Amino acid sequence: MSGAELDAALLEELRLRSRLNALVHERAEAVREAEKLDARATLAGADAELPEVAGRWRAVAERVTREIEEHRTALRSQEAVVARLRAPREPT
Amino acid sequence: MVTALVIVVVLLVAAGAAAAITRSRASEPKRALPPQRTPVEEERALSGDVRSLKPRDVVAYEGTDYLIDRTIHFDEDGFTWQEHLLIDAVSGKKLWLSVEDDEGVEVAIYEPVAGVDLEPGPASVEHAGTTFKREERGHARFRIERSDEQIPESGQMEYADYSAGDKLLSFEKYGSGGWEASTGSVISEHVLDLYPSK
Repeated sequence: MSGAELDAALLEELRLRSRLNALVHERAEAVREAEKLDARATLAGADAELPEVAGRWRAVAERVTREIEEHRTALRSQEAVVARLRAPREPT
Repeated sequence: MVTALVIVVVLLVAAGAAAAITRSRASEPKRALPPQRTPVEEERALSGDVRSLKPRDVVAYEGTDYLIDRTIHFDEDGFTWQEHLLIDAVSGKKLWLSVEDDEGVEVAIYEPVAGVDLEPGPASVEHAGTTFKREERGHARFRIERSDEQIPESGQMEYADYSAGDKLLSFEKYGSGGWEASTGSVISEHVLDLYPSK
């Protein structure tokens, strides 16, 4: 194992965790926006297009959910890479 | 005169021996340093440390991604612990994550008990067919840190902790408010996936 290889693997894992944090926040905002527009759409005089706009935010949330799962899968793989690089070598 | 000469000779021999040892050590191949961190500390440094969680961090637990909405810091005569309010933005589900670092890290997950009139007091409490025995009761100072960066709230609270095997029953009372009950269980910190914020 080279130190540089391990450092690169560790950095990639940190990048994935950071990106997952950002994506979970992004999905939460999309869900909140959709819920807010759904509620506004029930008010008297509400614009008829609000439910459709809310639907677009829900679509964003679904897309981000898929992206989260892709990144989580990548994180699991990266964890395995790091674990292999950090494990002691078997005696030859 | 003879005594002084003997002392000088002894000092010169000692200095020579010290120099020889130093040269010998310098020429030895360098040994690998022992690891500075335990495997658990290494994992915490890399994957996130449950003891350093803060608002806006993300905690993935049992397939759900929770945002930390707020963190309550407790201090009872110098003994400190934290509780984090976890919220799933998709389902709205809320959990409390408790973290104590006292001769090892103890992590527990709690869910508020709603619609039940429960209060601490006796040495045991019945809830949902389980008898919980009192573990401890006390007062602590608290400070609330929120994700929306509002001015932190602080004050005094009272708590009472009960347990029945792996099951936990916790009571908390803030200021003049009533008792809030929650049930929970101890979990391994390694079942949590942490996505720290910057």
